[in-house]
Amino acid sequence: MEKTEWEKLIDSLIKQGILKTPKVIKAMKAVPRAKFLPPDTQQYGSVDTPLPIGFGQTISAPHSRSVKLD
Amino acid sequence: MVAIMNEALQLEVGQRVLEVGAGSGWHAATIAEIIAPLDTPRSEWGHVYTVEIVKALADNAKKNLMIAGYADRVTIINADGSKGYDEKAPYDRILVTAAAPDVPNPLIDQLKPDGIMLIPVGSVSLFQSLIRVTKSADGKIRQENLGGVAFVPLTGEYGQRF
Repeated sequence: MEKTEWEKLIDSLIKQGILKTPKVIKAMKAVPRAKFLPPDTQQYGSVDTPLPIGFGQTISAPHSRSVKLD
Repeated sequence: MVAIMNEALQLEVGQRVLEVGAGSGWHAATIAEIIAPLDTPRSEWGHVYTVEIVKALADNAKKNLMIAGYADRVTIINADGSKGYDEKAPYDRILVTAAAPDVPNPLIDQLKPDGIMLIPVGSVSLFQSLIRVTKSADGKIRQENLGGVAFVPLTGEYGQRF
């Protein structure tokens, strides 16, 4: 079966050594971020960056601390 | 950030977790998957209490968590989480998802012996340090710096002063 964009992102975090523990990997795979995004940003759910969720707040990136620090 | 924090928290089935700053509810859902997995008997489940100071965000997170199937594993509280959430303390794990000026004392008090807390500490300007606070079995507090991070400011009684 073709991997989803979310599964590809998780695979990349494993390759980078950020995700290591099997149960953490399983948990991250189980909850795609798009489910928690407002409709207008859902298409960016699997992009590793923070996104606006309204009310002046952001949803965390799956990994990236910030572009400047990486 | 969620991936890094979930690795550093050393989460186990059955733990009681406090999150300060629910945001969208997504981070709490990923934690619930670890501490209360559906393939484990409900009697062994842990629970996530997540406190959100912005009412509209708390309502939105509650809706998101209900739709995604976490309503019985995550509880959202609309309150000032910089003071923690004494009603369900103490907690095995505490995570703070906004930058605090210092580690708030009420959060240290609400951490169990052998507990772990992750909290970004620093100024409101862009970068802070992610601090891991551990409380030993005899109550001693140890802090280590896990590196630079960028979070939105923590507000409330123990939050940032503008």
